[in-house]
Amino acid sequence: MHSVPSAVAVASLAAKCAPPHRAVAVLLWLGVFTSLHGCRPNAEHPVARDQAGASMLVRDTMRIYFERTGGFAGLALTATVESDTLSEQDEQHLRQLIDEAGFFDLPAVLHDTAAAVDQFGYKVTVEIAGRSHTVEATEGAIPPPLRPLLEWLARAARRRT
Amino acid sequence: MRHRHPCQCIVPPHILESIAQRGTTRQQEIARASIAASDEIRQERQIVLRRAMPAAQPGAKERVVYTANFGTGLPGQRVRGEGDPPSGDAAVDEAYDGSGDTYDLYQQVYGRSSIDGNNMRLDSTVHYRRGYDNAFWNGQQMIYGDGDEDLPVDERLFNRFTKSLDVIGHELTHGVTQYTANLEYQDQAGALNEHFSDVFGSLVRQWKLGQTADQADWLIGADLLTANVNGAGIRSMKAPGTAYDDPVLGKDPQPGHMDDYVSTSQDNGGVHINSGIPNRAFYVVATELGGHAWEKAGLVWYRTLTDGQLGTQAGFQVAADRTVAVAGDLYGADSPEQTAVRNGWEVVGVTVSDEIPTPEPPLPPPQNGCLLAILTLGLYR
Repeated sequence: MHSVPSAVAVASLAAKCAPPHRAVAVLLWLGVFTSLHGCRPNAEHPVARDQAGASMLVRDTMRIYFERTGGFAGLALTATVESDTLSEQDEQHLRQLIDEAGFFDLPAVLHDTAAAVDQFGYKVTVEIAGRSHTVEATEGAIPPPLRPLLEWLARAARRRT
Repeated sequence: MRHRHPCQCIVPPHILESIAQRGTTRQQEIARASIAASDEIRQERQIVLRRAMPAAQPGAKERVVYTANFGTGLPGQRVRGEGDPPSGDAAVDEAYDGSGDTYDLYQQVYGRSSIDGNNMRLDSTVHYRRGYDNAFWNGQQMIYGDGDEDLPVDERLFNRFTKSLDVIGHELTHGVTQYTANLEYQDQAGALNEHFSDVFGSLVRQWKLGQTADQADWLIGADLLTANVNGAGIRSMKAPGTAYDDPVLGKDPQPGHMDDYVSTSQDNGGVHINSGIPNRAFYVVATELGGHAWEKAGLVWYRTLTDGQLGTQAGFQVAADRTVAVAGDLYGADSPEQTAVRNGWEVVGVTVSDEIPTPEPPLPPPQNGCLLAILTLGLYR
């Protein structure tokens, strides 16, 4: 169904694309995609079901911004993931991880008070169907259901290509 | 997925309880799962606290290395205890040897018995999670990931984190700091916390190799980066900001002067970034004094960390003032050692005023002199 770019659309360790360029690229790509494939309903996703008034295109697109900072090296690791550039299997898996994390119900800030040092800090924004939620978490405060999503995104961000 | 990290605090319990009672069905499920995880963690924490109680006899070095078997359970499965032969697992044996070398530096050079000064057992866990590019101190023990072992060889950026002795010294020193100055892990106090860890991490390696200040490379994590990365290490104490410059990792962001101090909300206020400023000050001091850096510069910094005068919220200025004062106490006012410490901070843009360090005993207050004069006059009459 999707032969357009595979895997992660933009995965970089240092956010190499300036945001305006990234936005232009995304818009261009969306234009090409809709002209080729039209709109694709996604009845499975609960968030999409909630947004009865949203356009089919917006409903279908999921965008994730991932940022991991701190750690021993103090390096920022970032990735932007477009659902439409993923294989159908990866996309379904990712939507499942977001759903299982209860992402949209998580508090915006999750900070622990443990004496841990050199740990990572995470910031994740998920946009689906015009709905957006951002969660910031220190490593020691990650709720167990959220961890698989963060691990998937960190792996995507650690890949060179 | 079970989550068994002992330093987990997750969402504050009162918020979880509130969600569990009043949230949507999905929110309630998540809150209940988190509460269950927290209870489990609290139980483990009690076990860890009991385990961490210093039970060893005085003068005894006791190390234990565990493996998390690529999971998150801590401390994990015991692999090697004190006196056991090498296990053949490089990460296990590096954690064992490195924590031993760090113990020896603290014991033999500074007279400190382990992390808490009371021979606390040194626990390390290796093979923590998969693709874990990190090492950390969780308040009770050291934990090491294997870097990018889960990626194809040509995509790997990081090796296992036990590979550099200074990384082990860095993590163990976080424990020492917790039991002494207990610097807050935020902004300048946090950058000082990182700085002390880099100082003693680097000194362990220099001590082990028998290097003088001018022979040392002053790099932190020189063995962590793979050949795929254009970089010499994670940080350079000698020249902050020059450790790596790579198309994927980006450029080393560390400043080496107060003029370039980085204000950021990331990384607890840039604790791993602005530590470059005091790191370079220490390098300048050690190089100006020459010889073995752990002998004089290291002693001044050790005293500053452990004498109870620094304060948990110390910034760079306070640290500079205290190191100059300690150098005066140890070596005398305006001694070459005190002058070197003052110069080191000056080079990075932190000026220590002349009034602050007063190692000599203060002059008797004038009223005593007056009293003496009156008494003397009275006797003459």
